[in-house]
Amino acid sequence: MNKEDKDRIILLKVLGGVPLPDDFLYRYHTHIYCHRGSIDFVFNDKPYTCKAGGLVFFLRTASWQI
Amino acid sequence: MADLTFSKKVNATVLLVERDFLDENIPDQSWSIDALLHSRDNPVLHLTEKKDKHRVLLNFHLLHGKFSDTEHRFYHETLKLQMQVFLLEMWHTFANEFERHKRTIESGTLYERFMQLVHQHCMKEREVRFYANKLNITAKYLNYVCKQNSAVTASEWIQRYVRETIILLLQVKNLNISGIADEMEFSSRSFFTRYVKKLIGMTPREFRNRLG
Repeated sequence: MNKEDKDRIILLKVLGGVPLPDDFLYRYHTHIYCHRGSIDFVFNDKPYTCKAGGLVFFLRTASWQI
Repeated sequence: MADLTFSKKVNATVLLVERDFLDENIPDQSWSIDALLHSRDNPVLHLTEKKDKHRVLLNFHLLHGKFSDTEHRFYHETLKLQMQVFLLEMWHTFANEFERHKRTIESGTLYERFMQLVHQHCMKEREVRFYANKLNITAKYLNYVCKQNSAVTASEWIQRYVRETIILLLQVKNLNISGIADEMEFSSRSFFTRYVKKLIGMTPREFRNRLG
């Protein structure tokens, strides 16, 4: 496995305000399961809140680059 | 996507999967398109069943576990298979929610039913008339209904979905461009090329070259 491959799949536990990698949106498909608390975000100009028991998924598409 | 913020007391599990790796291991393109289109409008899925939560988290850990097991004699083969299992498991969870949503929409407003029809048929149907006929209304009235509900006409909605679908298919490098044109029932590859150029500002070949 080369260096780039080492970051191919990342599993993180987020407690409080731990940031995600800067390029996560561009390089990764992102899946977040919220156990407790809440996650706020804006997607396609719409605000969303994910509460405990919710799953957020951002499936990256090339259209976001154009 | 912007302004991602976690509350102070948040406890969350995050799984990041490199886009190219996931895209290379998609077990079924049709399901992949459905998942993408659905997630674009519904990026949050509330897991009401305990078994769904269990499945999702187990799925996260199994994929990451397989990825970390670099000493495995068949590392690349098993990782690819696990990636496919991961997607099938996620789609299974998503499908339950999708079908519940679909049942609600079937008894919903004209606008909701139109959006559902576009989601289902945008691969092959790009005319407002097709959707208007399905809903037993005129194309003009359908455009009016969409404009009232979303400030966007029916034809613009269809174009958005078609654009997203074409981009998704072009990203799958082992699908050839003529094959995509045929699959989407364009009359010829040259017509498909002109259509894509108008829709995204570049030809399918130029788009692929940009992806690298």
